Amino acid sequence: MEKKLIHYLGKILVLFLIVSLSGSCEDDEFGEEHNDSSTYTQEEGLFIINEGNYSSGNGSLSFYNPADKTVSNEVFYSVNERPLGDIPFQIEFLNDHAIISINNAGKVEVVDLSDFSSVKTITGLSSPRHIQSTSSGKIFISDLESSNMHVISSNNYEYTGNLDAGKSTGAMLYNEDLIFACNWSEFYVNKPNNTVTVIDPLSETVIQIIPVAKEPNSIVMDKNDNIWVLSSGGYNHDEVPALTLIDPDQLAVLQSIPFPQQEISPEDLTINEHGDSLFFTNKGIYGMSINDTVIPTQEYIKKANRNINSLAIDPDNGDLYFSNALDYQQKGWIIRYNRNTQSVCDSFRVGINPGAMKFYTP
Amino acid sequence: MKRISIIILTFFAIIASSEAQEKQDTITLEAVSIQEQRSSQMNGVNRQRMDSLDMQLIKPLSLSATLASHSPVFIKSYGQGALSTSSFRGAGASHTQVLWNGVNINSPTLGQTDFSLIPMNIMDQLTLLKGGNSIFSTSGGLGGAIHLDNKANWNDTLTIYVNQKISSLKGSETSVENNFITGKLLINTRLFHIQSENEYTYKNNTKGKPPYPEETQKNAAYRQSGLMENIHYKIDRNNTLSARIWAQSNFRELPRPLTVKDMKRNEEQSNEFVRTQLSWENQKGKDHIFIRTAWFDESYTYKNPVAGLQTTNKSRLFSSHAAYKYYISSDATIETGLNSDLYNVRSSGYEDNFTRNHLSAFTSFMYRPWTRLQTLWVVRAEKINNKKINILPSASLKFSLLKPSRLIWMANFSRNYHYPTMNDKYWNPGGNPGLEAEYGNSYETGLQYKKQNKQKNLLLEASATYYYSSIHNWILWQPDSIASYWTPSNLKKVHSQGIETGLTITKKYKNSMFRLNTQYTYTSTKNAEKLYPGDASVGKQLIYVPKHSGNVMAFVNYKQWDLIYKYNYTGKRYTTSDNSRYMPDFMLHDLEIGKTWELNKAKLSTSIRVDNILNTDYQSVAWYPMPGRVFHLKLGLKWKRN
Repeated sequence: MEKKLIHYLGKILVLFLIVSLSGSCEDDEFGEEHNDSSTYTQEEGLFIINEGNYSSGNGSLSFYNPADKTVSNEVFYSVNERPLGDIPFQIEFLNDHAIISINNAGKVEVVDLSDFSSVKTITGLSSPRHIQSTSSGKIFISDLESSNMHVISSNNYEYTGNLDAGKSTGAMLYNEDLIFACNWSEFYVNKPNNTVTVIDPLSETVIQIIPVAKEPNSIVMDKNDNIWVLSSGGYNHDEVPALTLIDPDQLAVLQSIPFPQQEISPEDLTINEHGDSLFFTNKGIYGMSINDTVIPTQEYIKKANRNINSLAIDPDNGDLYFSNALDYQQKGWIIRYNRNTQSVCDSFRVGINPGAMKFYTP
Repeated sequence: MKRISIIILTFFAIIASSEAQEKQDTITLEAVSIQEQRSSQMNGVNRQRMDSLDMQLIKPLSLSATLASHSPVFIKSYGQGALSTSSFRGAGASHTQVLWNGVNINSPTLGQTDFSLIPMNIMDQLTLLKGGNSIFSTSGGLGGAIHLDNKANWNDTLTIYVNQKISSLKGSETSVENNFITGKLLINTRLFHIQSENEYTYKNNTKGKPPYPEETQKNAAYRQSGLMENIHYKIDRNNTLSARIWAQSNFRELPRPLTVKDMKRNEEQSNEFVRTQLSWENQKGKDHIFIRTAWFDESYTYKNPVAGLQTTNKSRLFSSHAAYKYYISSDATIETGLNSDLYNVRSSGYEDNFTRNHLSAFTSFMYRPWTRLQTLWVVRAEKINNKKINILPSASLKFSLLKPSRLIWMANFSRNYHYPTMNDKYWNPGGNPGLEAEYGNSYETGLQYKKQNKQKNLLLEASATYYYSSIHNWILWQPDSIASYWTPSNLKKVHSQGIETGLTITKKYKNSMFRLNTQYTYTSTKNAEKLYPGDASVGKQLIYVPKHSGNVMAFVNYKQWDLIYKYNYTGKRYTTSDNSRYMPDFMLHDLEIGKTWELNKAKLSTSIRVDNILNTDYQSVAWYPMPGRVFHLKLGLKWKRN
């Protein structure tokens, strides 16, 4: 009887082992998977950085061809078979290469624009943000967590050193002479974040510090070569947000236009194709002329239940592109808006939390 | 190698206890069924109770491992000893209410419990109240409630257990328990210390094409040490006073996900708590009075040395509870009572101190109008601070289709709500003081079958339940459009339905025993409303809730040998709300073999357990690699004076 029982139990155990082991060899995959495939080819078009979610590693890169209205998602992953990294943030183009900063991964990826294969990965950076190539053969990369700006050689993408900017740096603008770096954050480097630091890329020195309103987040140059800086006033609404106009020769403030309210957070200052109109987001999208002296109160495009995250304007035809991140946990949308007909002319799904967008011309 | 052999030698030199041996003398088939009959009102609801045999088997594990291998609750784990949160019936982590001897231990700031911080060997009984059935003991359990209870053992006048375990992750666990009775006084003391370097190799699948390079997990160490004290004093035949203390100190490093840069100095988290309870129970004739007060003091610190960040939360709970139960007849019982939970929270993340008074009046009525039909009616009236009163009703019935109670049909309807957590309301920046409570109705129906054959010493239990619930005002954090920080709002409407099935077979023969416990759970939790133009999340499964999950535990005891096999299947989990990305399913197999020696009044036992015996590469949460094969060596000693 006892033997019988053991026999019976043994049988059941063996059966269970067979049933449960049978499925275990099917799949070798153990990381996150997705179904997007890329049809990327090197053409004129719009790159979209999908930031993904913090610590979730689900950022990606998309490419849109405005001529035939096609979109390629997961442009990096599908060629290199690895995730781009945690929070891809900005993209810059140089010599048939794209340079992408990946913020929370502390790295910069350099890829070949012909097929998007990886050329180089620069690691060990603390929190790379914006990338600015210069005619001096140097690439400057701002950093959120450090006052040191990273300097990379544009020939071989070797790290050549860093430049002490004195403060944490964010958005940058290069006017073929100087670099204007916004001091966006006071969080990691505890210095007031209400300035723009002017850097000479040749000597790699700070030559001027220009006061603006708190938390400057974006910077553009108009047709008169003047520089516009948009400040949100701080995430806690410490100050009234403002648009500051800087004279690039005198390195001085020409004009500061305060916003009508304090409890707002304007971002994504963008200039149109002619360099005479400014656009920015603040729930919805607003537009104004560079000659205006007050901030418009009427929206140019209404928010309409969208979570608008970023803006771009096609330098060729002036079409305005803006992103809608929806719930920030699914593939977001890019809406293409024709400013002449004042209507949406295309929309397409990209990756999670679409952020920075940049036009590329081969 | 030398070091390892020293560790092993030391290990054998240390005296330790045994779970395994316990089964033979304390577990009988009858005990299982008697326990079922004894439980009075709670018997009216759909619950799952880990009986003493299961508890013996799972004792060495943490609550998170226990729930993963023995219950339909899905555990989302960031790793061994790392944050483990629950999804019960497809609901969110804060929708599982966890109660220790009746008092809610969910963090008032986060609203959830971290299941890896609760070692099971300081608890004696685990009961799950599924879905709306949880209204019986608490509100807020939109997914369900988990009861962790300590039971007084008045049988043995002096018992000492010592337990020592080591693992191949450079970990060790030591626990001691002493149960002491003198006259009318019972003192039960448990101490434990758990520590692990938690060092293991994994394949880094962020690095190009397979084969992936092997790397070593670092910065994932953890430590937990604690004390559990349960004191009972029988004043006389009808009156018992009980005092309980649970103090614990926890520390863990927070390893980065693979896609995030390697930091020189790691983030870390520590927390300390003291939880105390004092209760008086009076049972005389048909009256039963129970009065309890509880005082909890907890602190929690998060440190990020690179960012120079430190967040500290301190919370206090003063809880009072009074209940009166009256046995009207053998077929009717009524209970009514009042519970007040007064929280006070201080946090470096808040602008101010915040208090919350959660008042709850409840009445439950168990009535058996007919021998075959048992009904349970519960109503709670709740008030939080100065908000309006919420009425939460629940009705359950159990109907015997086959005599005697072999096949039971059961059904439940409940209405429940969950108040926003303190962080939801007050976190600075982002907290939204205007948040409303999440609420919903739930319905369920199911069958329970039980067959006991005393001649053949066979017990068969099977159950299947279907449930449907809706949750309105589901709180979701997302970046705010007027500011650059995240803020919560009452955004989503979620429909959840599913099937839970279970099968248990217990077979005994002379000096051997076999037990098989299997569960399969199907969970469909869907986003029901379109919130944005182009929203593709409507009708899609919520993230990190597997549709399919199941587990098997087979236990064989032959003479002094034990063999335990565990199997866990976790289905595909989506990681995006439009279900465009997912984590693949995985299966884990664990095997344990143990032997026990009887030495006069003592029992010595030892066992070897191998987790993930097939060395499967898997991630439970995206980019957090989990360990492969892990070995555990255990030695236990139990000494008893009757």
